[in-house]
Amino acid sequence: MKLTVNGVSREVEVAPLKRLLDLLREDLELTGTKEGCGEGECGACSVLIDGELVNSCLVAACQVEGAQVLTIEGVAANGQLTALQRIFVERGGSQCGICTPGMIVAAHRFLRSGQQATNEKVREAIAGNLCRCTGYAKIVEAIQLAALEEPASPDPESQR
Amino acid sequence: MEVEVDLDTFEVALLDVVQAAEIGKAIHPVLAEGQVEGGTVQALGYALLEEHVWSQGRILNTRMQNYLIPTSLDVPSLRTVLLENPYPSGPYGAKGMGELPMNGPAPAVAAAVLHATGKLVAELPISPDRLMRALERP
Repeated sequence: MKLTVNGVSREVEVAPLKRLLDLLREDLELTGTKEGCGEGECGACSVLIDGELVNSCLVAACQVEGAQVLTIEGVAANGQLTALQRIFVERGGSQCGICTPGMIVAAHRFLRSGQQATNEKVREAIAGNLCRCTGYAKIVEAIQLAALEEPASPDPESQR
Repeated sequence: MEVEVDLDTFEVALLDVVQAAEIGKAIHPVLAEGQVEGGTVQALGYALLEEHVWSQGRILNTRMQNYLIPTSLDVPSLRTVLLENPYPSGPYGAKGMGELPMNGPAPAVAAAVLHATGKLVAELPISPDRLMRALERP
């Protein structure tokens, strides 16, 4: 089957019910996406499919034929961290790191949704991404600061 | 600690949480605050959500579907205060500070629920069923 991952067209031969998470990590060797609970509760494996935020542990490979998938590896462009990623580092948005790839993907999508980055909206946007060690405060703060630097208008191109 | 208790659903909402920590010297203030905040939220889970259900030596709720931890919507923006008081026996005046934030929040939630309802729930977590039973007690 064919699909586009982080803007690059890929062709893979996989079992139709293989999890997208495993297709990404094993077949495409994109190990930035993490497995947390493996049952759609924690959001660690979040990726975008055609711009929609999903838990890749709950998606079968056959569902993404022809789709555009964005993983954490595709968020930074040309080796440059986005404002969101840079501010995450500076403001302590990441501690142990297991939630970080999914959290960044969820926040990346939120920042391109055109919504105002109020405390409530940001908390709602990352409510499907569990974090055990930051207490969310610095994550919310980092997303709000990034919203000041990144344009709030919808940008389909950067959702890939 | 400020809470709001819903007397129809017996849910406890957290409105304001302040935690101060005396940590000797804050070598990296941003990460030190992060440690306090993470511990605080874990402790708020301990206070309101998290419970191991045991049967015959085994934990029954071993999955994230049935062992709930706080999401970003379950906790308010935290107010964190680092109190510096360099500790001569610690490295660069620092003290350990990863665990202590777990200690205060659950008793503080119980005290706030007592203040709000007049009933002490002396067992954790203060789940809706426990709070309902406490409020129905004469």
